[in-house]
Amino acid sequence: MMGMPQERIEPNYASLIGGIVVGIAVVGLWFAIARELDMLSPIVMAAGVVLAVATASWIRLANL
Amino acid sequence: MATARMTQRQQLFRTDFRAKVAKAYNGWLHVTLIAAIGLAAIWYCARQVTHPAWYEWLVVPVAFAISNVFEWWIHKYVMHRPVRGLMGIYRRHTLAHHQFFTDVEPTFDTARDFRIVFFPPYALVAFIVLSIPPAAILNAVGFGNAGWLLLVTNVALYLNYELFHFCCHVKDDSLVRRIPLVNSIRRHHIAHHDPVIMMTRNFNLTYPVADWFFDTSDLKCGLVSHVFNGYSDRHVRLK
Repeated sequence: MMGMPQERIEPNYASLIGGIVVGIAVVGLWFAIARELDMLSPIVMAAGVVLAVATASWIRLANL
Repeated sequence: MATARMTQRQQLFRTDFRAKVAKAYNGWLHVTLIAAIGLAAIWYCARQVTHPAWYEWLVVPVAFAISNVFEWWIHKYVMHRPVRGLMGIYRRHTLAHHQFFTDVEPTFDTARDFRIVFFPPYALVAFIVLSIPPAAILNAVGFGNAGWLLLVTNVALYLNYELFHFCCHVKDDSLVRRIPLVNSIRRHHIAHHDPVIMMTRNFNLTYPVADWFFDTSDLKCGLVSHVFNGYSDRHVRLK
């Protein structure tokens, strides 16, 4: 495969959509587990949203 | 498995790839995120299983068999073929992973190289989403426990895949070479990184069952010998 054009690691679009998808999964799992443990409260919900946003942002910034 | 000097082409690819990895990337965070999502999903789904009937457990070996063939199929026909709409997977695997790792130098150097070892976390989410419809169907026809067991099994097999793939590319093999199953898949996968056979042989990354069944293994022997082959090259076919 000599002479093959150099490929980019990943299109930014994938990390954007992927980050959003993982963020939704994280908040969904967080809420489900909190409910399972009977710990669902506004503070716990807010923490889940913060964690999801942080995760999605990192995936985007890391161009994962 | 003797190591030789990597080619200049591989060296150049590694240098170029590493320069393009984003500064915000952290390999251990990548691994932690995959493990956290996977283990949390397993824990939640396992908590929903209540007194399953004996026949509902049958979903576990069935899911294992289907996942093993799926892993073989997607590797052979999507990761190594340019399929419209799935080109990102082909680029990431054949044009990047296989340039970075060859049978001559199949190991990573630092945690930043995890970027090219592990799938992005959204692959795990996609795999979970793909597993939900059959689980929902099982639930709808009265086998709710089997549905949850299916989800547990599929997510566990995904984590199994990532762990074994890590073991295939880890530099120090003093431990993994002694672990049954893991040593077999390490030899199997490193052989797959030989450009001569990468399009035709050794597509499994957990247990080489589908490779044995579809005769795409570089070994010529029975199933048990495949799975417990370890590092032996006694049954390797001539290229």
